[in-house]
Amino acid sequence: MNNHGELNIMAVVIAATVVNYIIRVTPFLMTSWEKVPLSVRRFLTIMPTAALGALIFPGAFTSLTDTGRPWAALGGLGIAALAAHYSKNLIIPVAAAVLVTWGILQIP
Amino acid sequence: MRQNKKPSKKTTAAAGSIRGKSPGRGEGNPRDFTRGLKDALPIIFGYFSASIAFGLLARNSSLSLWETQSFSLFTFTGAAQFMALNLINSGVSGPQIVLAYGLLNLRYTLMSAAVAKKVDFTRFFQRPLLAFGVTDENFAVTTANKGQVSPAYQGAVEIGPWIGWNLGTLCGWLFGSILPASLSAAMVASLYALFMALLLPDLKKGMPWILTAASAAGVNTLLELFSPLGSGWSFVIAMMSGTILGMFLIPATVGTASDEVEA
Repeated sequence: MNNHGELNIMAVVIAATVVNYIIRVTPFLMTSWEKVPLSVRRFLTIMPTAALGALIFPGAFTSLTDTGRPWAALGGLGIAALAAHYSKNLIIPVAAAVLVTWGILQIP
Repeated sequence: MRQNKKPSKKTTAAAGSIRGKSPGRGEGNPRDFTRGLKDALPIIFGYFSASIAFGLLARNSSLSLWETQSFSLFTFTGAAQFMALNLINSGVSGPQIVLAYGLLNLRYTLMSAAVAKKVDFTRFFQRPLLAFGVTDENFAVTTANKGQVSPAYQGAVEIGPWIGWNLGTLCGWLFGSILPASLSAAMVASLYALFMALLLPDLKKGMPWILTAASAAGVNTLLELFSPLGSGWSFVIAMMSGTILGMFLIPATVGTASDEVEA
Protein backbone atom coordinates (compact mmCIF):
# COMPACT_ATOMS: atom_id res chain seq x y z
CA MET A 1 0.00 0.00 0.00
CA ASN A 2 2.65 2.50 0.98
CA ASN A 3 4.63 3.29 -2.15
CA HIS A 4 6.34 6.41 -0.99
CA GLY A 5 8.85 4.86 1.37
CA GLU A 6 10.82 7.49 3.20
CA LEU A 7 9.64 10.41 1.08
CA ASN A 8 8.88 13.21 3.50
CA ILE A 9 5.44 14.36 2.36
CA MET A 10 5.40 17.39 4.63
CA ALA A 11 8.68 18.62 3.16
CA VAL A 12 7.15 18.33 -0.31
CA VAL A 13 4.09 20.26 0.85
CA ILE A 14 6.20 23.06 2.34
CA ALA A 15 8.42 23.38 -0.74
CA ALA A 16 5.41 23.26 -3.07
CA THR A 17 3.71 25.94 -0.97
CA VAL A 18 6.69 28.27 -1.28
CA VAL A 19 7.04 27.68 -5.05
CA ASN A 20 3.33 28.21 -5.60
CA TYR A 21 3.18 31.36 -3.57
CA ILE A 22 6.12 32.93 -5.38
CA ILE A 23 4.41 32.19 -8.70
CA ARG A 24 1.15 33.74 -7.55
CA VAL A 25 2.48 36.72 -5.62
CA THR A 26 4.99 38.13 -8.11
CA PRO A 27 2.42 39.76 -10.44
CA PHE A 28 0.55 41.13 -7.42
CA LEU A 29 3.61 43.03 -6.24
CA MET A 30 3.93 44.89 -9.52
CA THR A 31 2.21 48.14 -8.65
CA SER A 32 2.48 50.12 -11.87
CA TRP A 33 0.61 48.77 -14.83
CA GLU A 34 1.20 51.89 -16.91
CA LYS A 35 4.67 50.62 -17.66
CA VAL A 36 3.30 47.36 -19.00
CA PRO A 37 3.28 47.42 -22.83
CA LEU A 38 -0.06 47.68 -24.58
CA SER A 39 0.38 44.29 -26.23
CA VAL A 40 0.73 42.62 -22.82
CA ARG A 41 -2.41 44.33 -21.57
CA ARG A 42 -4.27 43.20 -24.67
CA PHE A 43 -2.95 39.70 -24.10
CA LEU A 44 -4.29 39.70 -20.55
CA THR A 45 -7.69 40.95 -21.72
CA ILE A 46 -8.13 38.27 -24.34
CA MET A 47 -6.57 35.44 -22.33
CA PRO A 48 -9.60 34.64 -20.15
CA THR A 49 -11.64 33.73 -23.24
CA ALA A 50 -8.97 31.35 -24.51
CA ALA A 51 -8.45 29.97 -21.00
CA LEU A 52 -12.15 29.15 -20.64
CA GLY A 53 -12.18 27.34 -23.98
CA ALA A 54 -9.23 25.21 -22.90
CA LEU A 55 -10.69 24.67 -19.43
CA ILE A 56 -13.88 23.19 -20.89
CA PHE A 57 -12.36 21.01 -23.62
CA PRO A 58 -11.53 18.23 -23.14
CA GLY A 59 -11.87 18.36 -19.32
CA ALA A 60 -15.66 18.27 -19.32
CA PHE A 61 -15.52 14.97 -21.23
CA THR A 62 -12.47 13.33 -19.66
CA SER A 63 -13.83 14.00 -16.16
CA LEU A 64 -16.63 11.56 -17.03
CA THR A 65 -14.38 8.82 -18.48
CA ASP A 66 -14.81 6.65 -15.39
CA THR A 67 -18.57 6.61 -15.88
CA GLY A 68 -18.17 5.18 -19.40
CA ARG A 69 -20.30 8.03 -20.79
CA PRO A 70 -18.02 11.00 -21.47
CA TRP A 71 -20.54 12.29 -24.03
CA ALA A 72 -22.92 13.01 -21.14
CA ALA A 73 -20.91 16.22 -20.81
CA LEU A 74 -22.56 17.48 -24.02
CA GLY A 75 -25.91 17.51 -22.22
CA GLY A 76 -24.52 19.38 -19.25
CA LEU A 77 -22.62 21.94 -21.35
CA GLY A 78 -25.59 22.46 -23.68
CA ILE A 79 -28.05 23.13 -20.90
CA ALA A 80 -25.49 25.38 -19.16
CA ALA A 81 -25.05 27.49 -22.31
CA LEU A 82 -28.80 27.68 -22.83
CA ALA A 83 -29.46 28.69 -19.22
CA ALA A 84 -26.63 31.24 -19.28
CA HIS A 85 -28.15 32.77 -22.39
CA TYR A 86 -31.40 33.51 -20.56
CA SER A 87 -30.17 34.04 -16.99
CA LYS A 88 -27.46 36.29 -15.60
CA ASN A 89 -27.43 34.17 -12.47
CA LEU A 90 -24.53 31.70 -12.47
CA ILE A 91 -26.21 29.21 -10.18
CA ILE A 92 -29.01 28.33 -12.62
CA PRO A 93 -26.79 26.99 -15.44
CA VAL A 94 -24.68 25.11 -12.92
CA ALA A 95 -27.62 23.50 -11.14
CA ALA A 96 -29.26 22.62 -14.48
CA ALA A 97 -26.05 21.03 -15.75
CA VAL A 98 -25.60 18.89 -12.64
CA LEU A 99 -29.19 17.66 -12.89
CA VAL A 100 -28.97 16.90 -16.61
CA THR A 101 -25.58 15.18 -16.31
CA TRP A 102 -26.74 13.11 -13.36
CA GLY A 103 -29.92 12.24 -15.25
CA ILE A 104 -27.98 11.05 -18.30
CA LEU A 105 -25.70 8.97 -16.09
CA GLN A 106 -28.77 7.35 -14.49
CA ILE A 107 -30.16 6.09 -17.83
CA PRO A 108 -29.60 2.32 -17.71
CA MET B 1 -10.15 46.44 -18.58
CA ARG B 2 -9.02 49.62 -17.00
CA GLN B 3 -5.87 51.42 -17.62
CA ASN B 4 -4.97 53.08 -14.35
CA LYS B 5 -3.45 56.32 -15.55
CA LYS B 6 -4.04 58.14 -12.32
CA PRO B 7 -5.59 55.80 -9.81
CA SER B 8 -8.18 57.97 -8.15
CA LYS B 9 -9.38 55.66 -5.44
CA LYS B 10 -12.96 56.88 -5.20
CA THR B 11 -13.84 56.13 -8.79
CA THR B 12 -11.74 53.05 -9.41
CA ALA B 13 -12.97 51.41 -6.21
CA ALA B 14 -16.28 50.95 -7.96
CA ALA B 15 -16.92 47.29 -8.42
CA GLY B 16 -19.10 46.11 -11.25
CA SER B 17 -20.63 42.73 -10.78
CA ILE B 18 -20.93 39.93 -13.27
CA ARG B 19 -24.60 40.71 -13.46
CA GLY B 20 -23.80 44.34 -14.15
CA LYS B 21 -25.38 45.73 -10.99
CA SER B 22 -24.58 49.17 -9.71
CA PRO B 23 -21.07 49.45 -8.34
CA GLY B 24 -20.27 49.01 -4.68
CA ARG B 25 -17.82 51.17 -2.84
CA GLY B 26 -14.49 50.78 -1.16
CA GLU B 27 -12.53 47.99 0.42
CA GLY B 28 -14.73 47.12 3.36
CA ASN B 29 -18.12 46.93 1.75
CA PRO B 30 -19.79 43.81 3.15
CA ARG B 31 -22.13 43.76 0.14
CA ASP B 32 -19.12 43.26 -2.11
CA PHE B 33 -18.06 40.33 0.02
CA THR B 34 -21.53 38.79 -0.15
CA ARG B 35 -21.69 39.32 -3.91
CA GLY B 36 -18.29 37.68 -4.24
CA LEU B 37 -19.50 34.65 -2.32
CA LYS B 38 -22.59 34.45 -4.53
CA ASP B 39 -20.52 34.64 -7.71
CA ALA B 40 -18.18 32.00 -6.31
CA LEU B 41 -20.93 29.62 -5.21
CA PRO B 42 -20.63 27.32 -8.25
CA ILE B 43 -16.87 27.12 -7.66
CA ILE B 44 -17.37 26.32 -3.98
CA PHE B 45 -19.77 23.56 -4.99
CA GLY B 46 -17.50 22.26 -7.76
CA TYR B 47 -14.37 22.36 -5.63
CA PHE B 48 -16.10 20.57 -2.79
CA SER B 49 -16.97 17.69 -5.11
CA ALA B 50 -13.62 17.55 -6.88
CA SER B 51 -11.65 17.62 -3.64
CA ILE B 52 -13.66 14.72 -2.26
CA ALA B 53 -11.94 12.71 -4.98
CA PHE B 54 -8.59 14.15 -3.91
CA GLY B 55 -9.12 13.26 -0.25
CA LEU B 56 -10.20 9.74 -1.14
CA LEU B 57 -7.30 9.22 -3.53
CA ALA B 58 -4.80 10.59 -1.02
CA ARG B 59 -6.03 8.20 1.64
CA ASN B 60 -5.71 5.33 -0.84
CA SER B 61 -2.13 6.48 -1.49
CA SER B 62 -1.64 6.10 2.29
CA LEU B 63 -1.18 9.76 3.06
CA SER B 64 -2.20 10.73 6.58
CA LEU B 65 -5.15 13.06 7.09
CA TRP B 66 -2.81 15.88 8.09
CA GLU B 67 -0.57 15.40 5.03
CA THR B 68 -3.61 15.32 2.75
CA GLN B 69 -5.19 18.35 4.37
CA SER B 70 -1.92 20.33 4.24
CA PHE B 71 -1.81 19.98 0.48
CA SER B 72 -5.23 21.59 0.22
CA LEU B 73 -4.72 24.17 2.98
CA PHE B 74 -1.38 25.51 1.82
CA THR B 75 -0.96 24.84 -1.91
CA PHE B 76 -4.63 25.07 -2.96
CA THR B 77 -4.12 23.94 -6.56
CA GLY B 78 -6.46 21.42 -8.10
CA ALA B 79 -4.64 19.68 -10.90
CA ALA B 80 -1.22 19.90 -9.28
CA GLN B 81 -2.40 18.12 -6.16
CA PHE B 82 -3.70 15.19 -8.17
CA MET B 83 -0.45 15.14 -10.12
CA ALA B 84 1.54 15.14 -6.89
CA LEU B 85 -0.38 12.07 -5.69
CA ASN B 86 0.41 10.37 -8.97
CA LEU B 87 4.10 11.14 -8.66
CA ILE B 88 4.21 10.13 -5.00
CA ASN B 89 2.67 6.79 -5.93
CA SER B 90 5.18 6.21 -8.70
CA GLY B 91 8.05 6.81 -6.30
CA VAL B 92 9.32 10.09 -7.77
CA SER B 93 11.74 12.01 -5.54
CA GLY B 94 10.70 15.07 -3.53
CA PRO B 95 12.61 17.74 -5.52
CA GLN B 96 11.21 16.39 -8.79
CA ILE B 97 7.68 16.56 -7.44
CA VAL B 98 8.22 20.16 -6.37
CA LEU B 99 9.68 21.03 -9.78
CA ALA B 100 6.69 19.48 -11.57
CA TYR B 101 4.41 21.36 -9.18
CA GLY B 102 6.04 24.65 -10.14
CA LEU B 103 5.91 23.93 -13.87
CA LEU B 104 2.28 22.92 -13.79
CA ASN B 105 1.43 26.07 -11.87
CA LEU B 106 3.45 28.55 -13.93
CA ARG B 107 0.20 29.47 -15.63
CA TYR B 108 -0.86 31.21 -12.43
CA THR B 109 1.63 33.95 -13.24
CA LEU B 110 -0.59 35.05 -16.11
CA MET B 111 -3.79 34.59 -14.14
CA SER B 112 -2.41 36.44 -11.13
CA ALA B 113 -1.37 39.27 -13.42
CA ALA B 114 -4.88 39.51 -14.87
CA VAL B 115 -6.47 39.39 -11.41
CA ALA B 116 -4.01 41.88 -9.89
CA LYS B 117 -4.89 44.29 -12.68
CA LYS B 118 -8.59 43.88 -11.95
CA VAL B 119 -8.57 44.53 -8.18
CA ASP B 120 -8.58 48.04 -6.77
CA PHE B 121 -6.20 47.67 -3.88
CA THR B 122 -6.57 50.23 -1.15
CA ARG B 123 -3.80 48.97 1.15
CA PHE B 124 -0.54 47.29 0.31
CA PHE B 125 -1.07 44.24 2.55
CA GLN B 126 -4.02 43.24 0.37
CA ARG B 127 -1.64 42.35 -2.44
CA PRO B 128 0.32 39.50 -0.79
CA LEU B 129 -2.87 38.32 0.91
CA LEU B 130 -5.07 38.12 -2.19
CA ALA B 131 -2.25 36.55 -4.20
CA PHE B 132 -2.59 33.36 -2.17
CA GLY B 133 -5.87 32.04 -3.50
CA VAL B 134 -5.87 32.71 -7.25
CA THR B 135 -6.99 29.65 -9.21
CA ASP B 136 -8.13 28.94 -12.78
CA GLU B 137 -11.73 29.10 -11.68
CA ASN B 138 -11.85 32.21 -9.52
CA PHE B 139 -9.62 33.99 -12.03
CA ALA B 140 -12.34 33.32 -14.61
CA VAL B 141 -15.04 34.69 -12.28
CA THR B 142 -13.06 37.81 -11.38
CA THR B 143 -12.12 38.68 -14.93
CA ALA B 144 -15.72 38.22 -16.08
CA ASN B 145 -16.67 41.31 -14.06
CA LYS B 146 -17.13 44.57 -15.84
CA GLY B 147 -14.68 47.17 -14.63
CA GLN B 148 -12.73 46.83 -11.40
CA VAL B 149 -13.55 44.72 -8.34
CA SER B 150 -12.97 45.63 -4.72
CA PRO B 151 -10.58 43.74 -2.43
CA ALA B 152 -13.57 42.54 -0.40
CA TYR B 153 -15.12 40.99 -3.50
CA GLN B 154 -11.85 39.34 -4.50
CA GLY B 155 -11.36 38.10 -0.93
CA ALA B 156 -14.74 36.36 -1.03
CA VAL B 157 -14.08 34.88 -4.45
CA GLU B 158 -10.90 33.29 -3.05
CA ILE B 159 -11.82 32.29 0.48
CA GLY B 160 -15.15 30.66 -0.39
CA PRO B 161 -13.63 28.16 -2.84
CA TRP B 162 -10.69 27.63 -0.46
CA ILE B 163 -13.09 26.57 2.28
CA GLY B 164 -15.00 24.37 -0.17
CA TRP B 165 -11.80 22.72 -1.39
CA ASN B 166 -10.63 22.03 2.15
CA LEU B 167 -13.96 20.76 3.45
CA GLY B 168 -14.18 18.46 0.44
CA THR B 169 -10.66 17.18 1.06
CA LEU B 170 -11.56 16.44 4.66
CA CYS B 171 -14.82 14.71 3.75
CA GLY B 172 -13.13 12.76 0.96
CA TRP B 173 -10.44 11.42 3.27
CA LEU B 174 -12.96 10.56 5.98
CA PHE B 175 -15.99 9.31 4.02
CA GLY B 176 -15.17 9.43 0.28
CA SER B 177 -15.65 5.75 -0.20
CA ILE B 178 -19.39 5.81 0.56
CA LEU B 179 -20.44 8.27 -2.19
CA PRO B 180 -22.19 6.86 -5.32
CA ALA B 181 -19.90 7.33 -8.34
CA SER B 182 -22.55 8.78 -10.66
CA LEU B 183 -23.41 11.51 -8.16
CA SER B 184 -19.82 12.63 -7.60
CA ALA B 185 -19.19 12.63 -11.36
CA ALA B 186 -22.27 14.77 -11.97
CA MET B 187 -21.15 17.16 -9.24
CA VAL B 188 -17.80 17.66 -10.94
CA ALA B 189 -19.82 18.69 -14.02
CA SER B 190 -20.75 21.84 -12.12
CA LEU B 191 -17.24 23.20 -12.70
CA TYR B 192 -17.54 22.88 -16.47
CA ALA B 193 -21.03 24.34 -16.45
CA LEU B 194 -19.59 27.33 -14.63
CA PHE B 195 -16.91 27.75 -17.30
CA MET B 196 -19.57 27.56 -20.00
CA ALA B 197 -21.72 30.16 -18.25
CA LEU B 198 -18.71 32.46 -17.97
CA LEU B 199 -17.67 31.89 -21.56
CA LEU B 200 -21.07 32.50 -23.17
CA PRO B 201 -21.02 36.33 -22.89
CA ASP B 202 -17.61 36.31 -24.65
CA LEU B 203 -18.95 34.11 -27.43
CA LYS B 204 -21.79 36.57 -28.01
CA LYS B 205 -19.25 39.30 -28.79
CA GLY B 206 -18.71 37.83 -32.23
CA MET B 207 -16.74 35.52 -34.42
CA PRO B 208 -13.21 36.61 -33.39
CA TRP B 209 -14.02 35.74 -29.78
CA ILE B 210 -15.62 32.44 -30.75
CA LEU B 211 -12.54 31.50 -32.74
CA THR B 212 -10.27 32.46 -29.83
CA ALA B 213 -12.08 30.12 -27.45
CA ALA B 214 -12.55 27.38 -30.05
CA SER B 215 -8.89 27.32 -31.08
CA ALA B 216 -7.75 27.07 -27.45
CA ALA B 217 -10.30 24.29 -26.91
CA GLY B 218 -9.16 22.45 -30.04
CA VAL B 219 -5.45 22.71 -29.30
CA ASN B 220 -5.97 21.58 -25.71
CA THR B 221 -8.06 18.59 -26.79
CA LEU B 222 -5.49 17.50 -29.39
CA LEU B 223 -2.56 17.88 -27.00
CA GLU B 224 -4.25 16.15 -24.10
CA LEU B 225 -5.42 13.21 -26.16
CA PHE B 226 -2.49 12.72 -28.50
CA SER B 227 0.64 14.25 -26.96
CA PRO B 228 2.84 13.07 -24.09
CA LEU B 229 2.71 16.53 -22.48
CA GLY B 230 0.91 16.59 -19.16
CA SER B 231 -2.39 18.43 -18.82
CA GLY B 232 -0.60 21.44 -17.28
CA TRP B 233 1.58 22.07 -20.33
CA SER B 234 -1.19 21.27 -22.77
CA PHE B 235 -3.33 23.86 -21.08
CA VAL B 236 -0.62 26.52 -21.14
CA ILE B 237 0.14 25.96 -24.83
CA ALA B 238 -3.56 25.92 -25.75
CA MET B 239 -4.29 29.06 -23.78
CA MET B 240 -1.33 30.89 -25.30
CA SER B 241 -2.08 29.88 -28.88
CA GLY B 242 -5.76 30.80 -28.52
CA THR B 243 -4.85 34.18 -27.06
CA ILE B 244 -2.28 34.91 -29.76
CA LEU B 245 -4.80 34.03 -32.48
CA GLY B 246 -7.28 36.28 -30.68
CA MET B 247 -4.82 39.16 -30.69
CA PHE B 248 -4.78 38.98 -34.48
CA LEU B 249 -8.53 38.64 -34.89
CA ILE B 250 -9.94 40.89 -32.18
CA PRO B 251 -10.01 44.64 -32.96
CA ALA B 252 -7.02 46.53 -31.61
CA THR B 253 -9.14 48.77 -29.38
CA VAL B 254 -9.91 45.86 -27.06
CA GLY B 255 -7.66 45.90 -24.02
CA THR B 256 -6.90 49.58 -24.28
CA ALA B 257 -8.28 52.33 -22.07
CA SER B 258 -11.13 53.18 -24.41
CA ASP B 259 -12.39 49.67 -24.02
CA GLU B 260 -12.61 49.50 -20.25
CA VAL B 261 -16.39 49.18 -20.19
CA GLU B 262 -16.40 46.41 -22.76
CA ALA B 263 -13.79 44.28 -21.07
